[in-house]
Amino acid sequence: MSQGEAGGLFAQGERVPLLGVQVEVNATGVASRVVVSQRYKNMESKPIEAVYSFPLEESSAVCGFEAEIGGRRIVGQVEEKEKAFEQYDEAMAAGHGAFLMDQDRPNIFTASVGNLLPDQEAVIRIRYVTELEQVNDQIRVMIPTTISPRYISPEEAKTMDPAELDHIAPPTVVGGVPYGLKLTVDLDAADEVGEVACPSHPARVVIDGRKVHVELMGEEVQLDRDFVLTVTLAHPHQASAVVGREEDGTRTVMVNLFPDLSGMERGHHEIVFLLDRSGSMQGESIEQARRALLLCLRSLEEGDRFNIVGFGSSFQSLFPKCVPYSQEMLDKATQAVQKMQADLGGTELLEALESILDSPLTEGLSRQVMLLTDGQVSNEQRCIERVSSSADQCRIFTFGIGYGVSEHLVRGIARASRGQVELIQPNERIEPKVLRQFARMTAANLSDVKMDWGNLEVDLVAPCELPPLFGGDRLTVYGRLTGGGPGEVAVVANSPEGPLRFAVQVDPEKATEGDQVAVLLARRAIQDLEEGRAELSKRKGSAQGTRREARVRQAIVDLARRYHLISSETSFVAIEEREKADQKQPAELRRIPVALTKGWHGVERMVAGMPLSSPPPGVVFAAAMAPQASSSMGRMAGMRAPAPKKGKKPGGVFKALAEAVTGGLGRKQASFMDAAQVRAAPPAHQAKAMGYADEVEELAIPAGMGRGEEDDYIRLILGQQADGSFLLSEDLAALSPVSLNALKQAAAELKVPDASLAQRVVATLTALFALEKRFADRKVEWQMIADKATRWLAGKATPPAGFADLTSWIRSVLEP
Amino acid sequence: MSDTQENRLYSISEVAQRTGVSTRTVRYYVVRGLIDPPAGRGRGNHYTDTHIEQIARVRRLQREGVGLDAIGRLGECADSSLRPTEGPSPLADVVFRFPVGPGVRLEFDANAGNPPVQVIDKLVEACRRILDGEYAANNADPRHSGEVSEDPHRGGEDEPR
Repeated sequence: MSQGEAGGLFAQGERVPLLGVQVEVNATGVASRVVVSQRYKNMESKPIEAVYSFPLEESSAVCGFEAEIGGRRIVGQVEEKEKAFEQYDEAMAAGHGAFLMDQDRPNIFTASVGNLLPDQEAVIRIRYVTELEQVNDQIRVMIPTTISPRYISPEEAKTMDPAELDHIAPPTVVGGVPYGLKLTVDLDAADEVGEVACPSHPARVVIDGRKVHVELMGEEVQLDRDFVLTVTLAHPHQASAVVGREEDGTRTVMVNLFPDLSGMERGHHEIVFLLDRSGSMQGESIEQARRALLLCLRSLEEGDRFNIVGFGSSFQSLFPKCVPYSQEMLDKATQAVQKMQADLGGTELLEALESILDSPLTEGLSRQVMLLTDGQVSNEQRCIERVSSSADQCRIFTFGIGYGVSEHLVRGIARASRGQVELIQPNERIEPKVLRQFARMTAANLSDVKMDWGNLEVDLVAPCELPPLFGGDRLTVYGRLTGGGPGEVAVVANSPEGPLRFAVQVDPEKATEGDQVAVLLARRAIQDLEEGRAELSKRKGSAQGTRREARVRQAIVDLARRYHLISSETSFVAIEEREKADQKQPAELRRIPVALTKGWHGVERMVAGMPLSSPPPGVVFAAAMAPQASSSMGRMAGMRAPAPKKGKKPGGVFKALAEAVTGGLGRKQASFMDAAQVRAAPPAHQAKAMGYADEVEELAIPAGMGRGEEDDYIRLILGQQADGSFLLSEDLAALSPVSLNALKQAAAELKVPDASLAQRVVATLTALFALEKRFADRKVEWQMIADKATRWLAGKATPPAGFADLTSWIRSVLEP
Repeated sequence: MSDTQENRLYSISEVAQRTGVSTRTVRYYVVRGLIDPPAGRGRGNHYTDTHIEQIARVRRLQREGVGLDAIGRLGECADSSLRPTEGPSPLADVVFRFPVGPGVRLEFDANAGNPPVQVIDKLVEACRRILDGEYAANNADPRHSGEVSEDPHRGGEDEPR
């Protein structure tokens, strides 16, 4: 087939004009700068307009857009959205080169590359800055890569702007796209780095003290899942203040605080678990959600009330209304959860949310919702607005599940309702995240939380409402300075245990040059306007609604222009003036298809000749390992992905296709920055990934643990009763070093009138012992479960003679 | 549609304003073939009252629940009681194409459930075997190979390998 046609993906009858995507992340301890490059080539004989919709991190401040074409670099300008399109459209019609970037959602963007002539190439470069997420001792870098198909209700299909609808729902390919991703991360953590893990992709990691360099293994990978990198810090929770100075001298401060809320009493709550059971949750997502729910149910306490609501096209409540937590209700709920499937069709989240928010509150209890979803809806904004209007009555803690969750939905809902978000990928352990969320939900209520700016004078603060404080989470607040001198900046609050104050020193004179901090502030301020929290955008009756909307729009445009940012109201546009712009043939639109999110709807296996999955995730260390990182190397070794099975070779269609691509000669693959060759998916190195499919599934077992051990852990935790006790059983005995009979004999030694109570005491002690002995490294996860068990034990039995307490007695039984 | 009509001339943003859609949607309708392209060429291109009427009609049908693909197939027929069944958007026409022999290709929808990889593999292999071996041996005239083509309009110009 030397001169013949190669096999591959064809969209609208033609080869896909996007050749590759490159992402370069440069991060410091608190923020990162990211450059996304997209390389296009027109492989047709007529002019084309390539339109590519893609995701970026939610809350990212997109502050740069430029095109490189024919050796020229054209820098994009920020314009009002409609005006930007008009300029773009006019330039296209006149035969010039035109480039446009729109924000369709805070996390979905569309680049239009207009009038690409036959054989012409263009590279689009997008720059953004974003806060780096940090929870407890872990920094998390997340780069989304594809847009998951989303549920669009018939009503929305009728009313939504058709061009916008087209952007948020690009054509999807099952089986991979011909353009790949290259990605590097350089992080200066400003602290010694412990473990580094990449649960999403096989990656090469080099740690050098505070610095981490990460690159994806292989030439390129499929854009079918979010890239996730977690970096554990040796000394987390160090409050910091970063002052930035713009060219005109304006200073902006970014304050990072880590409130310590440990040791506070847990309150009682009404907790509703809201579980997405729509079709898109099929496969591992629903499995993870079930595990999360079973754990949460164990962590409830008597005095709480709860309910479980599943939603899809309709919603179903387990109980007609919230019920008091008891053994009977726990058993019913456990049985129901174990049977729950992703069988409720579409994703009508709004109706389910409304039913919860509209139901009457139980007196004396605060209402909390835990939402578990993969977040594929098209009415994110309406959901966010709805929870925002009930924010004083109900907080929502969200769980974004899967490889391609809509960050905007889960973050937006959590932000609007003063809850918190956790994101979970299939290769990550869900337990610590679930229990962290649960601890936040049930934490003591703080009141009068506010910012004390000390000596500083500020004229713009973002976020405009202080987010809620959660122990272990970073609290970031920005202020634009108009005066004042160095001093302490603090967040203050009242707690049941007395006043709280978390502070950091700020010196405006110690400023770094650059607009990064100012741009982050502006993005946050725009977000406050877009999501209706800013004073200007608050709803106060509808009479002046239109005028207010216009004022909000203008405020967004002003901020976006001042800081050169894309937003819901502004776009980037760049025009390449062509001397001979006498083009006869109008450009034809080419919509770039995107890869279906891995794991979506339970579609796991490759279907049409290309691998859905890259090689299994894991971490491989580079040889240039810094000596101080060697201690974590041993730990990391356990996290390495399993080696591919011997004898598994790429074959089949893949072989056929690889032959088609290379003409059977093993031609070198074109890499991102190489001149384009005829590209047909997938690159040869990905062909080798085919044989890995089985191993990928096995990685559902958490890193560093065998399946048996994980099963034991889950079985142990699920054995806990509603009151906190455990029951004596064969299962429990199997987790202890002695037999069931030995445990029963031990129970007989206890001076307790009721034999079954004695057995429960022994069982509970044995469970606590097993947690301490076998799962000490997960103490953060099971602490609440152990606390509940310890509270139940109090006063239930006295230790046999010769023992100071029950714990030393059970040790003597279990470790004679 | 001709420029000499007594229609007023509008820019894309004027048309968008008058019809209550975004400028992007005006152009999206053009690309989807739901309304006529703007009249004139280059910088001087413009829209007319006819475009405004066409956009109003598309919006009305959309509000009535008719999909864009269906509207496209309705063409000039103004009777919205005709509801053709939904079909795929031309922009969503994405396929995997495998050349299996001289002028013969196998195609699979890329955005729908496909046969499993093993089945596709067998199909490709079987097609190649038939075309390379059994068929070639029994029938030396390559002109007949088009009979197994999945894409008869495009066959004829390729060598298998």
